[in-house]
Amino acid sequence: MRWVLALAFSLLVLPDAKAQLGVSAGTGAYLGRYQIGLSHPFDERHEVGLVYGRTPDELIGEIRQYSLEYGYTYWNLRSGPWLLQPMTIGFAATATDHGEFFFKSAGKYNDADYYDATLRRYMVRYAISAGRQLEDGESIWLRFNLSILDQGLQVLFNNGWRPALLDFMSPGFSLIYRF
Amino acid sequence: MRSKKEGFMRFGRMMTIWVLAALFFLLAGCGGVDSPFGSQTKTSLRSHNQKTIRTLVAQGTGKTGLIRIGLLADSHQNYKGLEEAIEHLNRLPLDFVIHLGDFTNIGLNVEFDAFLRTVSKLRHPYVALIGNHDAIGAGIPMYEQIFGDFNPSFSYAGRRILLYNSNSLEFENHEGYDPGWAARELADATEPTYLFQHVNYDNKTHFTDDEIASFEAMMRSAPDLRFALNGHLHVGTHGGLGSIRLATIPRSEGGQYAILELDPAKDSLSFCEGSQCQEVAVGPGSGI
Repeated sequence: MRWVLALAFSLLVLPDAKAQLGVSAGTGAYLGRYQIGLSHPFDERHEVGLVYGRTPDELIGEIRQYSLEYGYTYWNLRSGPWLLQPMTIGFAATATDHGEFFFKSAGKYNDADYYDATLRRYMVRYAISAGRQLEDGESIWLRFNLSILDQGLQVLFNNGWRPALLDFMSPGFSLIYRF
Repeated sequence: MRSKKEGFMRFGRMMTIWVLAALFFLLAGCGGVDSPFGSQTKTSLRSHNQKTIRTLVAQGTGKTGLIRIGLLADSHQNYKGLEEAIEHLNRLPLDFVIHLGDFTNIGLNVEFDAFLRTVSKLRHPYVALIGNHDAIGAGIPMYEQIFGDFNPSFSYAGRRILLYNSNSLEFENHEGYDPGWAARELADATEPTYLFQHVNYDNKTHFTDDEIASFEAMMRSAPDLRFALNGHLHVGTHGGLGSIRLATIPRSEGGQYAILELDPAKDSLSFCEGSQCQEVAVGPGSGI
């Protein structure tokens, strides 16, 4: 969890007074059903963010997730106060602290890496965002996210089997306020 | 004039916020799987094994003569290989299919969905055992919800079919691993009996020497155990324990599967890849 705290610190402390920050509320795309986030666009193209997500689970209890995301925006379009980012490509790393998941297989196995780690996952992400410029550099955005989980990429790589990839994609949405 | 313009701008800004917020809540309602760590899946399948077994029991009552069982194992994320095997199984006259477990790599909800999407192409009824890889993370409760009981058994056409959960290590903190169940079922079976499990009973990682000896004694003393088949090891093997035929079913990578033919004159097990099958184990027929 150290890297999450380090990034949170850098987001809050390092940006200079003119730098923008974003706060978001969102759902889905493998980062949890209910998400809140903090992001920092370094410039018009690069943005990093932290997301905290919670997902109620009827079988194993609530899942808490801590995610770090990065996005690179290819185009920034503007028409009057309206803003459009039609293609942001990035990646995210997510982890949970739920007790059923692990970094290393339990010691009862001969090999500590008997199973792959289950409590962290990686994903590539695509986003399309529409927003409106408000006054004083503030803006509000609606973003559609699509995540492809690492396991899906593994399936694609090992199998070359695209139909299964459908089950390793998740859409999501977030509402972002930048100030 | 200026204040009128500012008023319009304020109104526009407020409208934007409200429209985006409304769109957000509208779109948020139609998502997919929210978290890869939970038990949320896209499938509405519930207690699949139980429902399939009920149908099989009804169909198998009074049936005699040859029955054919298709066997799949350890498909993990080899969805392509699994689909190839399913294509061949669909061309064969089978009574039903058993998947011997490990249909996921790390028991993720999305892996359950991908497996179910692939196996839904099977035209024969199927049941699936839980494998050790399916039993990590949220896999155990998901399996229970989707497939049902961990240790089902049933009679079909005069044969006793035992589906035993042998994942001892993965069930240390969960109910569902029950060697006592296997002991009772094996001892009480009056029909020719066929035991299916994921982890081989003599696996030294999962069982102590005493547990292995005890299970072996249990199988030997069963009134009429014909075959004990497992997955887990990925490579097809076959052997014997007295009159009991033992075999590991090969993983479905490359379209591999197995066929168990139970004939009144003889029982036989064949390992298959594509349309090529080779008989690897033979036992006496049940006479049924």
